[in-house]
Amino acid sequence: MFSRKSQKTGSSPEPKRERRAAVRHGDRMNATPDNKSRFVIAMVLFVGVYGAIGVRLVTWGTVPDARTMSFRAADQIMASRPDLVDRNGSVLATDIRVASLFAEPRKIVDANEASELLLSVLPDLDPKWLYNSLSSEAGFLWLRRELTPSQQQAILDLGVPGIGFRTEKRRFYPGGTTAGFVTGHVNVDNQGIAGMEKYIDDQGYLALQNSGLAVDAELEPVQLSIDLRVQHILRDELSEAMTRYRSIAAGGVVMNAKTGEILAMTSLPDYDPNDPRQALEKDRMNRTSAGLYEMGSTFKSFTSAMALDTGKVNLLSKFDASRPIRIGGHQISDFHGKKRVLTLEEVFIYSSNIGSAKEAELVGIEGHQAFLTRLGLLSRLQTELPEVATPTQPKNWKLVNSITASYGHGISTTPLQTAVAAGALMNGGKLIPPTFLPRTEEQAAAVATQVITKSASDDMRYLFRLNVEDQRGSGNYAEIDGYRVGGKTGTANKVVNGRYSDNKKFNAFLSAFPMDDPQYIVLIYIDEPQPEPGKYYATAGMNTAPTAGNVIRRAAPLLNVKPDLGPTGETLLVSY
Amino acid sequence: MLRTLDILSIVALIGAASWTFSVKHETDLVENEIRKVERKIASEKETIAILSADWTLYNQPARLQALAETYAEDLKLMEIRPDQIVAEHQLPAPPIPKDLTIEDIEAELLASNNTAVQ
Repeated sequence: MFSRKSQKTGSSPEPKRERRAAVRHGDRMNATPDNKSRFVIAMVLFVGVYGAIGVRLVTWGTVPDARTMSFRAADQIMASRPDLVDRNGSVLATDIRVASLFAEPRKIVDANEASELLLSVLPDLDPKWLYNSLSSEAGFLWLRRELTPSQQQAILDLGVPGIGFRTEKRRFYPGGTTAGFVTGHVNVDNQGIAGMEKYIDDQGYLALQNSGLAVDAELEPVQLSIDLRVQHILRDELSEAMTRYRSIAAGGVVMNAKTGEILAMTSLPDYDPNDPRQALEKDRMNRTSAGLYEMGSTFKSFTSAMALDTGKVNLLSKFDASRPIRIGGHQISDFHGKKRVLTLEEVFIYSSNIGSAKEAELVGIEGHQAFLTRLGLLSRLQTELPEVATPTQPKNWKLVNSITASYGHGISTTPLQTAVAAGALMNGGKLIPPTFLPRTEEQAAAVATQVITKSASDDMRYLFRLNVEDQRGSGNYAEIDGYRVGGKTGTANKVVNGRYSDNKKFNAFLSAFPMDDPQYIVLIYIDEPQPEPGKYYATAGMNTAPTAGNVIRRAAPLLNVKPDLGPTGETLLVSY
Repeated sequence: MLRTLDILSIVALIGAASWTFSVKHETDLVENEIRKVERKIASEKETIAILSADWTLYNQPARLQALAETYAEDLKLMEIRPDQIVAEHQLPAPPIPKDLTIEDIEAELLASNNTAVQ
């Protein structure tokens, strides 16, 4: 249209050309213009200009919005992690954004007023330092890291110019010390360096984080097998036991006997994952999975199970425990020995060292070693948690090693492994590797291995129950009405400077409940307990057994274990 | 004829241009709105995260235990005993409503018989 107009105006001052066109009888529209070059120039110009505009439009259209770009860049430094939740969905670890306060002193108009206003919100800042910093000529300085949301709001309300906030992501563990050894903790870059946090990173999350994909993505929370309530009960009872028996350490595990799920695990003294520096203190290690101990008499459970598993003996088979065993200059005798022939049942409930050694003789040295290996007590435990110690055992098993191992000395293993192996004795003979992630019984069945016969497991359940129920047993203090607790005590003398100490003990109580169909394994240990005031002994039956009982009494209703008080209990009816 | 075509095409051009402009402008407005809402969502999510962290903090078993112990006397709180948990069959039969007469029971039996027959 434009070109036609120019053509018209261009042709009007030249009547000659018009006349010529009329002569030719040609249509003006179809006439070929004479000055072709001018048209070419005009066309090139138009095509060039519009082409350039078009190209720019396309390039701007394809480049993403500059504003969203800047948002992404700001978030890049704060990688998010998935929340950790317990089996009921309670948060164990979460990411929160915390604001840090900075100042740009050069932009501050009145340093005196600004410092006074800030002190009204953050009274613990040093007034002199604050005034000097704000009146300086510095371009940027941090005033306070990690403010609470209410503090941030209060400072915003002050309206002081020249100060601002930067938000950072920070890992927060609401439970503090409660589940520290299970959750583990992260470093300043929000990367897991201990516990389940490290496990998540090793499972490929770290690669996701490094590739920058974990920044804005909504990460599904990771559910653990831990039950926060049971975990708290365990920790609460253990810390009480630690004060009552003035011990140097204590710990425990609550495990589902049928699935291998760990419901609670702790070790005291523990640490707060919100303050990871504490974890470096040697005293605050996770003794339950990374501490090696000679477990003592709790190992007699495995010795008895081994003897029963051979099928050569039954609960009433007799073992001569009348005389101490002498071997290689050592004498093995019984604490409170009966000095007579004992049945297998009595060997267990009287916790006879001699009887256990005789039981081990039945299978021989190699058989004994093979049995303990089969139960996973001599090799490194395979589980998600990275802090796991490798058990120690004699290089070459001799008769004396087999004898001492029968009552839990001479080989060191972790309390967690002991609880796992005990699970196999209780659940019908299936060894299930422990897990800190939820697992169903079907999944457990797929990974389980049959390690002892079902009848041996049935006998072990009877022995465990007898040891708590019967007055002669050592675990009486663990009896809780209705929950049919069964267990085995273990009081091991600790090795101090290469010799067994007489007064330093490692006490443990290995228990399960309810005994007619054990659902849960509870292992409690107390390191170097002292006798309770007014009592003479500090044996396991006096401290670890009642502690385990307390844990079971408080945790059982939460774990949906129905109390069964027997025919007498049924008469205690409620009335309207 | 030509003039009207010219005018029509000019009108069409202006119309198309202004329509394009208004659409573009509206898109800008909507995009701004989306950005605003997205920022709001992000800040709400942050708030939710902080509040849920707060909530779990208030719900920590350790804290609840301390509270329960503090107010145990005022609220008459006691630890649960195993014998307080009973199965259904252990419950006594519900008490008989007092104003029930023989006639009522007979009528009820009759009604249940009738439904059974049907």
